[in-house]
Amino acid sequence: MNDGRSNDLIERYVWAVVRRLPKETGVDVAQELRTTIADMVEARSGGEDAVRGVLVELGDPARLAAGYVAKPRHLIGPELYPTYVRILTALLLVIVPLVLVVTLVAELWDPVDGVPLGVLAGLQAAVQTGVMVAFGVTLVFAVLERYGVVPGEAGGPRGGAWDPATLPPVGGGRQISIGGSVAGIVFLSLLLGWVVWQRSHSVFHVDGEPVAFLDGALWDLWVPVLVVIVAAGIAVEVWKAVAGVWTAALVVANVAVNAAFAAFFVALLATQRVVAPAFEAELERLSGEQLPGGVVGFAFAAVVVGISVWDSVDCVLAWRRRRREAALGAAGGAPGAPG
Amino acid sequence: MDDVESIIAGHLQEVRRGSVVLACLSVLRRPHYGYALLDLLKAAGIDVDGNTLYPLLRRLERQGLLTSAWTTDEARPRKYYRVSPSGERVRERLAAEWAALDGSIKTLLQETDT
Repeated sequence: MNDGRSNDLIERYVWAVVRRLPKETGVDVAQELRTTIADMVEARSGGEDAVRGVLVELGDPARLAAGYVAKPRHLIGPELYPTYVRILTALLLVIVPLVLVVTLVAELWDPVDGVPLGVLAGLQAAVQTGVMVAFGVTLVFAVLERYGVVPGEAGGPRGGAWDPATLPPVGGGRQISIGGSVAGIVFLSLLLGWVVWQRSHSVFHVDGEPVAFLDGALWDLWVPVLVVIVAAGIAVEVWKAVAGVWTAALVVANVAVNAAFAAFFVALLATQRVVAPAFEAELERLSGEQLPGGVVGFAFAAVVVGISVWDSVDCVLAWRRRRREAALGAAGGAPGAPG
Repeated sequence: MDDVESIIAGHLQEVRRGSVVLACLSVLRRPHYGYALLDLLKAAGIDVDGNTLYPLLRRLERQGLLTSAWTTDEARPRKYYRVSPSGERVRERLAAEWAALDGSIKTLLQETDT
């Protein structure tokens, strides 16, 4: 039983277990495991078959290692999983076909590289978007799972003391529809997608090169900031869908993101050149019209601010309504008649 | 039926799960190393797999219910576990609970039999 091949097999098994454990316990567990395996092999009267049998009895090293580690080894637990699947499927079903259609139309409108390559570019954009959406949603849910910002049944903190009075009325549980959140995520993703996409695609071409719509200088600071705000916006939308009702923390997050959006666009349109000069020149050359930049910019900023304020007020009101209803429910104590 | 068998197996596992801790805390009033403990438990009719028992010993040690010491005077270095004072208290509580449960279940089984 002391021959090299058996020892090699044992060492490989021990390593397969220990490499999954934290360093401080690993050495100790390894030593104990070696002795245990040796004892077990001896009880089976040795030999390579005995070693194999013992390792089979101890089972998959990954499972054995999981036994030694106390913390949960999952990314998204059973509580969040149903919402995760719903949001992910809904987003993929909406965004991927949309990106496919939009890029196909754009590519085939003016097939610079020919039709087959245009179709290929469209498919590639759709697949890439799908992968990015899946990754982003999974990441957001994994963070929600780790940091437990998901409220319990009625919006109380998970794991905190729970009061039956906060139970939502029958049938009126959700304040926030998953569809609304999905639409929000779709819109934010498309905004981000367009910012990236317009760099290499345009209605205007000079010397075969596309003329980007947005000014290139924005990429130094403004676009990265927008990416951060949009990412925060998507996270809040996912949070809204998972929570289903307005909670104080969610209201604060939503108002913060709205304020960030409004401030960003007002500052951007007030201080920066947004449309690339080359694009404006090309537009003027081909149509003889000048882009009424000031008016369009002002209107755009006004719309963004308007939507942000309206959405913020709306969520605060919805939150207060729910608190009032919960208080009434607690005071009345009578079961509400269904239907 | 295969289905029923696997359901029974699942429930049996649930019933046995807690018993292994009590069995360990009882046997380890004398120090033993992992494999010897496994043998003793098997001889006593407590059927537990090594891949369940060895990690369990580590968890009980982390909880302060067991203490351990390495001995090097044998052919192989061995880690001996034994019950700590706090493990002793836990064993007493678990044993009391076990006796109470045993009484309750016996009564229920007799009631439904008659």
